[in-house]
Amino acid sequence: MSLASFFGDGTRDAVIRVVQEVEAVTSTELVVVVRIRSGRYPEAHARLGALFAFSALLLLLFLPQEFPLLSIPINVALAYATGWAMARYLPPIERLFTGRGALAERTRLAARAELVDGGITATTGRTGLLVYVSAVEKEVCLVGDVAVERVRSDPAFQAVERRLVAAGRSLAPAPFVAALRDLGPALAGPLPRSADDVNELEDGVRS
Amino acid sequence: MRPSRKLGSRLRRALPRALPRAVPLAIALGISLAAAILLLHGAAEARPGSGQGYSSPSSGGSSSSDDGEAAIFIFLLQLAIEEPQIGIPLLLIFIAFIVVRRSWGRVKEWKTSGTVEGHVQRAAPMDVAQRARHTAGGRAALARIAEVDPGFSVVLFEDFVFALYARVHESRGGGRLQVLAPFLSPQATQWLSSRAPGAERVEGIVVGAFHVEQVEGIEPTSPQVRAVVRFEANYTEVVQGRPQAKWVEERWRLVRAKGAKSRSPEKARTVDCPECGGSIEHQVNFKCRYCGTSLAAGVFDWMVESVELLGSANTGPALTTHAEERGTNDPTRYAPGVQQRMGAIAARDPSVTWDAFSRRVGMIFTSLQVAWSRREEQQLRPLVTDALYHYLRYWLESYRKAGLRNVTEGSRITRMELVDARTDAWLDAIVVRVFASGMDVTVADDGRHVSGDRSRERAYSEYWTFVRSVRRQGAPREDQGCPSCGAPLQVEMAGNCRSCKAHVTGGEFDWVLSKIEQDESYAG
Repeated sequence: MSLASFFGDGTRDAVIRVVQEVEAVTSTELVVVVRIRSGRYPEAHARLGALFAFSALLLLLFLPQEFPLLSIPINVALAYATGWAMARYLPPIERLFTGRGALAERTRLAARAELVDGGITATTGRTGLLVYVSAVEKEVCLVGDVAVERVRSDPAFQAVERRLVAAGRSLAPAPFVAALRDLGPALAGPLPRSADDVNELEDGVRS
Repeated sequence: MRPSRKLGSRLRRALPRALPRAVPLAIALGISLAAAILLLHGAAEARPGSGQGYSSPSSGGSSSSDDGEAAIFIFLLQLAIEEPQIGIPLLLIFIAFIVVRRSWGRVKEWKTSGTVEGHVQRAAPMDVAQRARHTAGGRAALARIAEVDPGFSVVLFEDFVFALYARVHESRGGGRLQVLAPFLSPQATQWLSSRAPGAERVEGIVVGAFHVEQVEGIEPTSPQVRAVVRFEANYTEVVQGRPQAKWVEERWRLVRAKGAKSRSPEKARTVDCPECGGSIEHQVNFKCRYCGTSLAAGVFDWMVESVELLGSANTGPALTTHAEERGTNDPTRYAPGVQQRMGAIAARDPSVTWDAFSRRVGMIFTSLQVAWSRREEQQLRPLVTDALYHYLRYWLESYRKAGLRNVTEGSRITRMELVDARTDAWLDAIVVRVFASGMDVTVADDGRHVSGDRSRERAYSEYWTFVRSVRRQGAPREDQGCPSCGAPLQVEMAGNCRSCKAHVTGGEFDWVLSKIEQDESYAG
């Protein structure tokens, strides 16, 4: 299953190797973060709960059978709870009932916070680049420090970014690793590795 | 006939039979589902981005969860046999629920480290309450030094220690610590020299926090007074031409002979001969080259006995955390006799009325919010003491380095209460509790919203301490003109008015903000 393999050791080890390859040709300090989710979406839980509750109410009101009066509020409440729980505990359903914009915005916010709080902005040349993948949202966000943001308009970089986003959204490990590898050539031109370059950000793994 | 129509007609026939029984079944199902949710809840609770999103299947509580799931499964299986029209779909939904939950619960978040090489974890910071106790207890003990030295002032002591801290670290650059021999013990000199020994320069030294942890030796029999203080600071070390920002936490042990006298306000912010102000760099054999005053270490003034590095990091403090306000609704901690002491200040200078003082507080509050939001620390310079300026600059520097701004749009004072008024040898101090409300969001330099809630104002309160020289008279100014010469106030880094060169940030001419304390840390 792609979810398990994307979060698995194989993908993780491959990403570490690729990060080292990329950093061998560019001064960019690359960090990859793979998160299960970037936020909670209570509006989605409420939407599905309301939908279930309304459907239950329609059935109870318009079906030809008679129902005890007390059962109507109980069933409506239970239907709401069922819908709420399904959206709360099943990520695909939660995603389905959340707007694409809200998912993208929450992922962007989390990525920016990770960039700052994770110390990626602390490199000497301000060349930190964060590739942030959020599985529930099916979003990928590339956030760079000052020096990297200057090359964001470069067509080669944008092409790699599009591939990374597509691979990350489908949680496909092989295309993701391949696209990540292509960051090296895309960044080597505008941000070449200098002879005295120091690897300021470790390339190992933290959970 | 298409399969869907066949299914539809079968359902239409089945539902009227099944639905009267569906109500109690729905209740049973709801209870089952609620039980399943409760059983799964332990494994499902996640903190966004925390790396602990979902527990692994092997984590505690999984066996009870499995038992619960099995019970629900058996129940639904029986239902599927007895009432297949309802039971089979419910069973399928339940199986799908478990499969999806398990597949998501099995994955574990990861990241390629991203830790700066050479990064040393900071020492576990004291919690807020512990820090408040330390600071409050330490400051109260520090004030007791006035019993043996009537000229002692806590505010001036802090200014002097900040100046000493900056001078000592500056002197580490280029190995020039020896010039500060009158202020450093050999042990402290040796330790400081071993920090970044090849550093050509140490610059941009900003003290972010200062806590008095302990004061010893006030008792009459002790020949020396010791103060243990803790700094949180940042600076930039330049080694082989490469600048590296450092955030550090250090504990300094300061010692002074009991007979030593405190410096006057005009000399408290310099690390020079306390008698004539002559440069310490020109001392000869621990004697001032200009006036011959003895500069023996620890005898004439505070000496750094030892320095301890509690933590160090190459990355700045977290800037995108918006902690919930604490203590805003707590009762105000009024000092006993505050009205009488405020009355005594007003008796010496009748122009210090509550209304006039409040207006100056309001002006400083507004200026502070604007300067903070724009990261223009120069605007703050005339309104705050040297020590507070250091503190505010530390945070603004951290925001600048991270490419962020903390915007406190629309902040305004909603209420203000007099909390304390006190007088020492040099300064009057008035403490007010400021209740305010406003936005508190963090944005990147390009305007992107990073954290904080744009749609909701935060109500908060803080204890603000204002100081002014006891020799000064006159109504508090409500504008930002120089209180000495009246020119539009532009202040140099040293706190002097650019026009008349008078030092204006020590309260010599008007009330300046000396301290901002949170509700949970203010202890009177």
